Amino acid sequence: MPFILYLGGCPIYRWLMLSRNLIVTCLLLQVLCIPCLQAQTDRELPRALKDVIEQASRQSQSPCFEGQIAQELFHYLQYPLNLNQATPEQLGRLHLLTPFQINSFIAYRNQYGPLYSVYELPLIYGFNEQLARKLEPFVYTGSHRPQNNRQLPGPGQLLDQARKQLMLRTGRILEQQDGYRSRPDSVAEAHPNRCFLGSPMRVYTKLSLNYYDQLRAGVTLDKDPGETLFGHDNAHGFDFHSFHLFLQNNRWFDKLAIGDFDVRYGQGLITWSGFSLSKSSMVLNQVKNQACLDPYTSSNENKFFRGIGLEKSFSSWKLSCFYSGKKVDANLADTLINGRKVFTSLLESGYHRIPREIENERVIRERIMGGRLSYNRSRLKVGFNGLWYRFGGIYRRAPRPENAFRFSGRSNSNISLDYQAVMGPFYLFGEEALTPGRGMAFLNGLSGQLTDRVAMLILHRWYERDYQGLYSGGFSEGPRVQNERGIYWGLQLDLSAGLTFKGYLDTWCFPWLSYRCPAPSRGRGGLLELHYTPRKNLQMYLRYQGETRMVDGQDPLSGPAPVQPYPKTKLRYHLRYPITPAITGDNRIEWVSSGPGRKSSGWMIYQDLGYRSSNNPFGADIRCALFHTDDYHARIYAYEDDLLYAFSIPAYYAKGYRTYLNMKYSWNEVDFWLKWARTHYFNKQTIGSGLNQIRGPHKSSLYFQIRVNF
Amino acid sequence: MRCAGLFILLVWAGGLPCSTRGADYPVGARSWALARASVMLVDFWCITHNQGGLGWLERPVVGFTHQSGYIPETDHQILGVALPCFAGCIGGSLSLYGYEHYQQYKAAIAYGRYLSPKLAGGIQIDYYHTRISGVYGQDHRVTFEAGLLLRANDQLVLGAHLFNPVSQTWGRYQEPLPVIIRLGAGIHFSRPLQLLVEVEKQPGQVAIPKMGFEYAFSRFFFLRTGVSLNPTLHCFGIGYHTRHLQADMAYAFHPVLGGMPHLSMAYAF
Repeated sequence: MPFILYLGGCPIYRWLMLSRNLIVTCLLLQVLCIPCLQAQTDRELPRALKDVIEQASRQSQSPCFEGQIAQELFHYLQYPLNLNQATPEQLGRLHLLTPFQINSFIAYRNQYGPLYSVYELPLIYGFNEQLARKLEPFVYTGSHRPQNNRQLPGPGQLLDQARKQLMLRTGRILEQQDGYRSRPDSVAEAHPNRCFLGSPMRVYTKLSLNYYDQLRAGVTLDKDPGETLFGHDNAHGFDFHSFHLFLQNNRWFDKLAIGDFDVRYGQGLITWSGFSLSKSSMVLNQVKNQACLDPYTSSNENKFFRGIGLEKSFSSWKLSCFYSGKKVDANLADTLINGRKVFTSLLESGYHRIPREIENERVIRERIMGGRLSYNRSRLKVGFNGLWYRFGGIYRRAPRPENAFRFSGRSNSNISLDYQAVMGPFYLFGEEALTPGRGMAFLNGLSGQLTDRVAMLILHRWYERDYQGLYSGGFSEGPRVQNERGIYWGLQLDLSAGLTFKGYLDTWCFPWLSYRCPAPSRGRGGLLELHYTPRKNLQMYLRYQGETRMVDGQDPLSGPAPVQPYPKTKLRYHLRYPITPAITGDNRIEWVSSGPGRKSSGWMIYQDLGYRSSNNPFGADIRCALFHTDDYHARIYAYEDDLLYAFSIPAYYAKGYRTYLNMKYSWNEVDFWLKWARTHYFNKQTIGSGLNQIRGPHKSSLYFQIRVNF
Repeated sequence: MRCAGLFILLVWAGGLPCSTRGADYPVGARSWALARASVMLVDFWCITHNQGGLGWLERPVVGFTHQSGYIPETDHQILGVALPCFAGCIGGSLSLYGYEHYQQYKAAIAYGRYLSPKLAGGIQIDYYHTRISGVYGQDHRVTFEAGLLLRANDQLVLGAHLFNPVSQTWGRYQEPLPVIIRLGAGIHFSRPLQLLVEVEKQPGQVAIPKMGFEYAFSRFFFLRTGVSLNPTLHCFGIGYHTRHLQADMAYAFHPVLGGMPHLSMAYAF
């Protein structure tokens, strides 16, 4: 047991272990003397995860960002994880722990038994007080008795005991957008794609049922603004319907997913549906260690699997397999090949608002089969993964040079081998994948808790230009796992109590042409952050973020120009402080420059006030933000508190101000939310473009949400 | 044509670490494994990367290092010796870089000693001889370099080094030999881990930040890694250190030019 030996070799750690009972007793006394954990309804996302969401929004291709992260984070906010029963897979889904910390936690629990309190976490090697505070909203310490193989009760008892929840969210942009303007019938017939068919209301409904961790079932219904409800192409109701039934810890299987589900294998080189962490201020959390099946409850209309999935363990071995079949949106070409449809791209927006979008709605059948056989020991995990997929039509991309090595045809497959191993303070991980007859992709890394105050991560990826993983979601700078090589470094130093330094450096190259770059190119990006938490609820950080990538010359007059470096720099200072026990303030100032010679630059400053009290069912957040940027290239993203399960990360650009008010009221088992937001531009008379254009200098939105637990 | 192309590549590749040949520090695989963040390191190879470290050498040492270039014509070898005497330590080194059409020899003699219980300083005289085939001919120059090392406490070591403060020049066109300033700090977070950071600056050039980690995996074995910018170099290495023997290997990876392995051996009597 080198890992245990290593931990035992640390004198501070050994002393802490000997004094554990005394310390735990003191901690429990402390817990009794201070106000208890805030009520569940007052829990909010840790700042670190808001940062992750902000970062992810920049890279998201989909305007709808209620993805996997919403399911995972809010699920644990609502149903905190019992640390004394948590599996490494469940701990990994919190996105707050590194693989080493997860292994350290499991080793601690195995050696010393169940935890008495969340306040015991800082005693574990690799943990500290700040991390424990971040984890606090998501976890609790309960019974350590295993609840596996609990019998599911009969339908009547199940319905009686299960947690049932109905959620309805609706709202709209208050100003009229061009796509909703009334037009004479003759104009509408001549130009049917110039107006939306449906109303500007967004309607989202979710009904879910949870019975401990054994059963999760739910229905999700969604209508985007501009789509019809019970009319035209949606005669049966909403534009998007989703259903899932998920059984877990049954005597016959570990997991059974029926309906819509997510699949994640290895490091994501062959398949990773749903959310995955990218480069962010959580510099060490780029390792994927929660390969599994999960129910799908998001409203993204294309990025999921629909069918059946199964997981079953046999001693140290685990077998997972699934079949998915559904129709997806695609851009259809005007030709047929051997009587089959031809499509040029798969669409991910999920919008079906005008006839042209409806023509492409669910037109191509997609069949996917996959499986994973893994060998799991406490310190070593090895998995063999396979994926096969076939389309009902023929995928033929536009004949452009950057598409030369991307997938075309009807069917394809990927196989891979992934591993995770713990060696002393080091954690090795990786995945080696292959597209038979084409290219290969490799991802390997090393994560280490070098001392109790220093942790680092090195991650190397090598994706050949002809590796074709259509469903992959591995770590990459580009939008796909293809045509990329790079090395990522992450470092976290706990300089003193409350003072932490974090940083990462990522360098990459694209050996073949890429989007907006008509030549092989390279780049690098990095982040430096000093985070200071002098006491609970008072924290601040200073962050520098820089990136340089190669892009085309963007000169339409002289034709294709040579590639040139395109730098981006950001500097941010953020302060969070308590005003009263119930009111918290947040201030941020951020400066951005973008383009050669700082061609575009800008700044943003905001003041947030949040009110939350365990004694009051009312809660509110308010923000006033002022921004001034040269153009859209210098845009600044900032997370906004929003309705539950929803995210708002608007891009601040041009000159203006934005304000919002987000309120919540709880009445017995019913929760209400209301959010109003308004952006006013000093230097714009129109906002947006095309059918989304607003003729005026401001844009307002109003959303309402109700949640009923029964 | 091939020779001309090779010449350009040599000058360019040689310029990656320090803009021109002539400033051929730092050497030693340990330094390369740490992305050349070594101005504060104390070992035998301080005879080339900071002569101040000689003040802390207590035994005679002889060492050899080989650095494989991105192409075989840019290989680099150094043979060195250090001998404690005169209340300090004298060091000498001979180095060879290049191939038959571009050769550079360097001979150096250094002296370093304690200036106070926590401070050590050193100086080195360098003689360079460069020969380029064809019409370019040959040239030789003398310059010097100096360094300081400060052991602030058990956890912090600071280092500074200055190369060619006299702004010596090369050849018939009076090409300037670079003036290079390096400042760095070594931080011992705990017994097994040392973090090294360094900034290198030449007048008129962007600064080169460097960072390296040295982790003592056991009493004798060390794992090292480092990264430096402008240009980006990713470096990795291992070391085996005993009372008498110091053996190090390193691999420096450049994203365009590829990998460059290094090997160093030093024996203390």
